[in-house]
Amino acid sequence: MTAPPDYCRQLEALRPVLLKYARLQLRNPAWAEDAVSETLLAALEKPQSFAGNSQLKTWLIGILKHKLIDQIRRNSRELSTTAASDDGEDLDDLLFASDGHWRETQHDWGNPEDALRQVDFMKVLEACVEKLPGQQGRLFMMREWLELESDEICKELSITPTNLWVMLHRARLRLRECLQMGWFAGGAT
Amino acid sequence: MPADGLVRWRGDLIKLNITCREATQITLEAEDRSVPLAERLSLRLHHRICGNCRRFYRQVEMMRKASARWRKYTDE
Repeated sequence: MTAPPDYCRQLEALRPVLLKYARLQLRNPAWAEDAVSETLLAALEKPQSFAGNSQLKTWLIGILKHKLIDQIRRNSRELSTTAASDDGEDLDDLLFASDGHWRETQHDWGNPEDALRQVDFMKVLEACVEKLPGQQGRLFMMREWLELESDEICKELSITPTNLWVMLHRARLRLRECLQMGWFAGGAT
Repeated sequence: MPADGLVRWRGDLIKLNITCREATQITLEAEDRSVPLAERLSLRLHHRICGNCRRFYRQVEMMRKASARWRKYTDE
């Protein structure tokens, strides 16, 4: 079955957004291109499987997530060896004094529901995820965006649970700093 | 008798005085694994005396909600 030209145009129009999330997940432009091409190809081959009762973007992101997991599997060896090389500074030592107390007062973020409804907040969050160092960002995305369980991530990448928790700990602390500075400190709520 | 700073509760040894750094560690690990009851109790005790860690805990909760909202946002 040949896909109608209109459908092809719609797919092509969604390429940039697919590429954005593929890059955010894989942190490798070439792998991201591959995953997006595979996604669009799958959608072109089976236009009839798009039910039309959901949005085209929702359906494509669903396919993309599977293709991204395939890419991660295919490149797992390289991914597991890049582990701690791009880690950045250790936030724990900046946040805590030697006696284990916070160096600074922690802020009340107020009513989160207000922020969560705002598209601007989503953009700040996305920018903060993008700023995470490579492996931290990848693992954070696997956990929070692909919604993989910790043991699945360890298995796919052949890393130990301790290693995973350390990396996610750092990613979450870094994300928190970024949200604090990019949103909550600015009084944007 | 358990050592100083520890209390036995239903067979678990609970640390009474964890630091903010340890509280942060437990709070964050709970996002990615099931944290043992003894550690959760230590955290609860710590929260009674530490406003900073209570606020940090709520920030982490907020981030969890934000991730869920973001997942929806990315495919809408």
